[in-house]
Amino acid sequence: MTNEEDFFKVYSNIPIEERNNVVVVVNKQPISWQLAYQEIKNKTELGKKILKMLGELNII
Amino acid sequence: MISVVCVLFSRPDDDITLNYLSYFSKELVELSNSSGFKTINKESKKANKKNILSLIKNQCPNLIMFNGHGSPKIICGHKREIIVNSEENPEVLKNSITYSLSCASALVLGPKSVEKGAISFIGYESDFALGKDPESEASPRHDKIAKLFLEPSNILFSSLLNGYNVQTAVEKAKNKMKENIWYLNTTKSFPEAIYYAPFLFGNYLGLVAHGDKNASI
Amino acid sequence: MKEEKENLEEIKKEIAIERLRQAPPSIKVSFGTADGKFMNRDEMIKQIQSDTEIGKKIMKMQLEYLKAFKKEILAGD
Repeated sequence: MTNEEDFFKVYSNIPIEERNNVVVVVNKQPISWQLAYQEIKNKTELGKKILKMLGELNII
Repeated sequence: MISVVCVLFSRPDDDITLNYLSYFSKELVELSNSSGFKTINKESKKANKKNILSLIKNQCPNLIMFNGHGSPKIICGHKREIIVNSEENPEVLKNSITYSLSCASALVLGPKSVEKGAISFIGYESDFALGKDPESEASPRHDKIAKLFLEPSNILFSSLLNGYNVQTAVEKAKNKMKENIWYLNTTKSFPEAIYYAPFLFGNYLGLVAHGDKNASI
Repeated sequence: MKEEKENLEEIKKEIAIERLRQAPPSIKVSFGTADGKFMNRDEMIKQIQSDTEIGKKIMKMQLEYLKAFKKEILAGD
């Protein structure tokens, strides 16, 4: 399973309200689950950084 | 000769956190009484080292509940007096099932007490977090958030009082914690609910049982 | 390698602080500290920023919570 797939699988478990909450900070910028989803889905550079960080933190 | 089950409670209340623990555990004392057990309840300043150790020695309780501050090696009573210390007297808990509602005491004291003859030791391997409703002032009775944190603890001990074994009691408590965490994550009844969830989850992770998990009273 | 590890620890702190910043300032949690006091949001953030024992525990609670969704511990029915 790729990191992206890992993320989407975890994301599907997140309660709706929790999705507005911060999951990671990249370059001092707080990123919510929801924003992470958008960036990863759209395969942006930020999305790649988020995936890397979430993997290192063992959140995905 | 039929032996009566003896249950000992240590319930100091000399700060706001302990006051909450004491208030919520009151129903457990009542349950123990109504179950026909020999119930020894030491609260406030009577939850001190001299009283508790003397009672353990003389009454040989089958089941003990400690409310109190703690750390990996100790459980405290009134005014933070150390009652049980893994390096001094872990053997006092021998032949009992103990539930310690105090920070981290299951990390070192728990296994040490079992090594020295405790039947089981149930407690937390990390700090026990207690959430509080900011609108309830210091009134535990109206505190809907504290209830979510302490209800699982009550379920654990009431399960033991009702004859369930250690493993089942812990499972029931953990299931209730999960239920309450899900409630905090999804309820719209108060906007700050979701922010308490991680702290209750910490309690879920920290709750463990050492010793004989099949033991019951 | 050591620098990466330190950086990750710093990021964990930032995550915990940013998560707490989203909470209302009035939330109150007690961790069984010596005085039995309940801490509000800003007091908890200060503990994390000051690298105190309690701050590290609060940070750990936040990160363990985030990992729980991966382990499906908290999936609803």
